[in-house]
Amino acid sequence: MQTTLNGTVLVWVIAACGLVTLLIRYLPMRWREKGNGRAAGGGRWRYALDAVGPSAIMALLVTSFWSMAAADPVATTVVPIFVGVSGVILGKRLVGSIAGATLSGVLAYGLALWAVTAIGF
Amino acid sequence: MRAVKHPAVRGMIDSLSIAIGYFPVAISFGLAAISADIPPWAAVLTSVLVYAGASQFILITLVAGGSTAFSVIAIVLLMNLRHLFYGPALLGKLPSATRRFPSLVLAAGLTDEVFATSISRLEQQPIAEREGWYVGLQAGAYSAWVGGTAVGAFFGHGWMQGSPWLAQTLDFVLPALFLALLLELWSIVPGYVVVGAALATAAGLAVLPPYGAIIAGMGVGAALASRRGA
Repeated sequence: MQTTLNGTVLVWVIAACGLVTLLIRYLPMRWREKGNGRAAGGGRWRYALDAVGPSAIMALLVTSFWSMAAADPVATTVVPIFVGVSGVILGKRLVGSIAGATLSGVLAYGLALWAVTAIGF
Repeated sequence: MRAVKHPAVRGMIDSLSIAIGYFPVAISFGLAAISADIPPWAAVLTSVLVYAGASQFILITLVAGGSTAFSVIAIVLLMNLRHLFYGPALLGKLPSATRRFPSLVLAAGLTDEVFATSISRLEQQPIAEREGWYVGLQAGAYSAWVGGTAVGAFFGHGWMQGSPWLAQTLDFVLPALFLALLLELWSIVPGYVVVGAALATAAGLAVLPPYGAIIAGMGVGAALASRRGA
């Protein structure tokens, strides 16, 4: 592939993308700081905001698994994902930390992936 | 062993869980950028200025594919729209009486993973130390992302090409991190909210691009939760 934007334009495009991303993160904070959020919806607003985090994580998780499953044949994907998910849950129970759970899940997934590939799916 | 007192240092230590996920993905981003004929310095600049994982991959793909500057910026804007909801939710856990940093600083590093970790961990911090802890968390995650990009862009060529197994295993790092965070947050909201968000995302993926499905999942989860306060 050949990049068509020259160096100067590329820098401006990257800077503009950085600016819009920053504004997306910043402007709602300013809006909330001025008291708009709480005044607008009371308890409903608070419950909705509390749910944004868990809902976003679940959405990111579903999207991640979806793209992994779409990229490879089902047989080589489902078993390692199942083993990896089990590894995360087991790691969370045994180690307790998020880093420990993540690492144990990745290790379990990698081993299952190696085994599935070795068997020859 | 002495307990770590400074909240920013504790935040940086707690950012390790994010850094473990970020570093290999950022290496992949650096590699993908140079594979698309993006100069290594531009790959690092993208991570420094944009700092939004998935949209950075799209950005280099569009640039390499010859898209116009306007369309690249518009698509990055659309992809990151989900971040609109993060700031207000985060501020709800940072009492204004203890705030020292301007909100621009707090907003700069508010990625998916930083937000998720903050939401699950902020309430475990003493109220007066929450902001310092959050800034440390941001700094650690940002360093891992930018550092990983530099490693991938300048030194990584050939690593993953030599080991497809390693490359495929690293694909599971971010899902594993998201699942670990979800387990941490599971008790905060009713189960039907999270299940509703999952179903809405899955349905959305059938008809929308991934970033649209994520916004749909978040919207349905928030809407279901708001019914409790009606």
